[in-house]
Amino acid sequence: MIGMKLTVCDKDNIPVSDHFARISGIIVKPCSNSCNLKCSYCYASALAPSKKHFMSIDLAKRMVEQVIETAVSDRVEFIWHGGEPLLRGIGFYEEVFDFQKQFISSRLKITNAIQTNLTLLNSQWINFFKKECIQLSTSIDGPSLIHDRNRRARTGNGSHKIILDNLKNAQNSGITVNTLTVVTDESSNYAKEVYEHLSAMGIRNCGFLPCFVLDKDMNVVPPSVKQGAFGNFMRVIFDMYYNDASLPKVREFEEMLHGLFDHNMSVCNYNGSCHRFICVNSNGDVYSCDTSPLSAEYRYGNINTSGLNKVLDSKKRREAILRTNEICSNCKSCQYYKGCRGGCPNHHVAGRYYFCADRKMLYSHIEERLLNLASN
Amino acid sequence: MNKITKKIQKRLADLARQNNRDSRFLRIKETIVSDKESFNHFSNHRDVNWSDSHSQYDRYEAYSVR
Repeated sequence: MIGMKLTVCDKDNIPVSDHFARISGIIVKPCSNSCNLKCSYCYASALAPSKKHFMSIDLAKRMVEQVIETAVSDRVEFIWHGGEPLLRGIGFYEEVFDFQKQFISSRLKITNAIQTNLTLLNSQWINFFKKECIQLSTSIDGPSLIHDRNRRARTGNGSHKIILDNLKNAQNSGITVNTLTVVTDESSNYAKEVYEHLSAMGIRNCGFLPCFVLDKDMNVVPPSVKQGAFGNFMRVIFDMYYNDASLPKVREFEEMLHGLFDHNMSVCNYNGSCHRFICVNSNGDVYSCDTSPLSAEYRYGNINTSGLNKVLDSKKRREAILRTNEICSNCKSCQYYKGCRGGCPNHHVAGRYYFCADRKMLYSHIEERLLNLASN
Repeated sequence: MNKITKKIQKRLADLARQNNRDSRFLRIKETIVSDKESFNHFSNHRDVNWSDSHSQYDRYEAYSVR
């Protein structure tokens, strides 16, 4: 065995070394987990360091260079995340996006996506996003009664009004804003109201994430959505989506329809593409995902001290990939495995995907609707 | 997942092409029939939603010709 190198493969049996270079999604935390909101269920808020740390422009440029040197894919996607990425200020993005442009060619396309709470959006940001063709994604949990239960400013005030005002300003300027909605145990009873609210706000593309909060003993605690309740919520929304094509597109349903039609899938927690993403924190530390705790255990390395190539080839990363594969081996006999891949590894409890029954319930529901339609 | 056989997939796709008014078929059409396979290779992270793949593609083009 001495001298033999273990070939680590992903869930599709593709050697990991092959897809190091295929990393196209870089989640960047330019302000680490710092945020001007304090949402009750936020993993980033729980993980936020006591001291603010902003990514320097020099480090951001080094990161861009290293990512582009490493990538053989024809597309590189930078996802600016947080915390709240607009806290870093417009000058940072102007300089970094300008720097990226020298690498754009007919063989390489670079995109930037920003996940923002919209509270800091003003006309300067709007003009900038418009100029740079940035599509924004934000978080709206439903009407103010639902949204403001959990998504509050540090003062305790709800964030719904300011977000909706700024959303309108962005939309009136021609910027498309997509949404993510976190479904809590409470909001899971209001599927119709939530979806209708998103539609009334002019949202054309939305996505739904189950609220999942663990305490220090790894127990799932409120306001997490209960097992089964998330599936029921999504079933109600599917029937509305399916019967009225004027309502917003729902990412999860499009993903599942692709799965049922044997198409390639694109969202990480459905196609098992975790390892095609990395997360770079404001100090250059690299983690597997933005949801990983910012602790040494989950840290693959640092792009300043080791360089991205070494970080991607690190023992820790190989071990993390192997661990994820082990978890998912439980699921491989499942009829929905190819359209699920064991869900998000961060939603696993005791080796099982916490929302497994919900996903099966939803797949089965969609199948039933499609079978009925085909028999007409 | 094996309930939606190749035969049913084909029937649904054919029906979707013919039915432009029924919302149910429109959903299948906009997602399955009209979608360009090449876009599906692109990975998307759960924590950001920019799933309008056609707009994405337009933006790649806009960027790459600069």
